[in-house]
Amino acid sequence: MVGGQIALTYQVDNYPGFPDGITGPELVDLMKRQAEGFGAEFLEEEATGVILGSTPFGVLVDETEYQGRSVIIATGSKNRSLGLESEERLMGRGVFVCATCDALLYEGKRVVVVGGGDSAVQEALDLTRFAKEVYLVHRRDRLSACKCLTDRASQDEKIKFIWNTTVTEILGEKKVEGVRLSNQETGNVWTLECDGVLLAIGWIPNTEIFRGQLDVDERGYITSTNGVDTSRAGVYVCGDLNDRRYRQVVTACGSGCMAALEVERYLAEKG
Amino acid sequence: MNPIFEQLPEHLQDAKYAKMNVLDSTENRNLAMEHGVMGTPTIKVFCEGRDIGEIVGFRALEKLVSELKDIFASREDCIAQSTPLE
Ligand SMILES: Cc1cc2nc3c(=O)[nH]c(=O)nc-3n(C[C@H](O)[C@H](O)[C@H](O)COP(=O)(O)OP(=O)(O)OC[C@H]3O[C@@H](n4cnc5c(N)ncnc54)[C@H](O)[C@@H]3O)c2cc1C
Repeated sequence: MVGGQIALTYQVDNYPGFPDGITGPELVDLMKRQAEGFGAEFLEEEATGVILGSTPFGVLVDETEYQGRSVIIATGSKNRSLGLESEERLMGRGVFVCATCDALLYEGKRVVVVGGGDSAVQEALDLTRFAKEVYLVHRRDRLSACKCLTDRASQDEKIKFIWNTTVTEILGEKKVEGVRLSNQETGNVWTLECDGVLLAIGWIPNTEIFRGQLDVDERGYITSTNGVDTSRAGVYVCGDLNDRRYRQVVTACGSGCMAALEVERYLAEKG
Repeated sequence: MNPIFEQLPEHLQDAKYAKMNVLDSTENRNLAMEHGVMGTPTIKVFCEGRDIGEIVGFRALEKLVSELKDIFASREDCIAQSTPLE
């Protein structure tokens, strides 16, 4: 889908140039029109493979190959999942991934947040504005989030921590009713009743189709020395795909610009 | 979802559409919660005031239209009986 994640976001308040905020779809539409003004063409297709071994490079959509002298990859990332059947079945029915979007629907309710990094703690804090109780379930014995977030969360009376514990099942038929938890140290298994489960256990970069053609690290991120180059000259990455830290529209646009300038330089040098 | 939702009337004419933003007001939020909405976007289908189906999560236009058609079809009786809403 043109626009990616932000096309699905209701309100964007932190993109420069829009002092009153703007909706995600509107922002996407403006960007698309601007790119079209410079001659960009949009194909709403899923790339199913790439041929990066020699130039011109190829991008495959099933049988059709699109060729280019250079390629910019901006495939973003997807939320990491627990890998449970119940999680998929109850997605949107109590299981959710974005507190900003759905926290309001959990007013006065009990929500379990799974994770222990910056995003988990931030989401837990966002939830406390509405939820009655927030349980943060983490598989380790301490948070890996930054100190400022950790401090705020520790002082928040609504947030309770459950350490060394994993979620082994989400309970409920039509909507979330609880989670089954397993303590990693004691092996103790127990059930916690809740109305919602927010998953914040990280992201998986969408790099499947590039593996074997570009160097990728053990977590699936494309190896890069300056943030936008790759192991293959003429192929660049940008946006959330290779961003483990900031993940904002403005930073995605910034790295997109860097990648575009690299392409320009690369093509000029190749002549 | 907005851009997709707005195209629905073109594809499925025999329904009325209403959009509700849970961020707008407490009333909206309470109404959504009363109907068991736990995530955005959720589309609820009513016939004669009865809740006859829901679609939770994002869909491409084609998929959404076909799932809505299924919900509508399974309730043809209800639709046949219903008087047009003004
Ligand atoms: C709910 C939510 C709210 C957010 N709110 C804000 C906010 O208020 N402000 C802010 O700055 N940021 C916000 N963000 C973050 C922001 O959306 C991201 O940082 C930004 O969208 C990253 O852009 P991107 O283009 O790198 O990746 P994405 O937006 O993830 O786009 C990647 C695109 O690539 C496509 N793709 C993947 N694989 C293929 C393939 N094989 N073939 C073809 N296409 C493919 C995907 O379908 C997708 O369209 C929010 C994110 C979410 C989820």
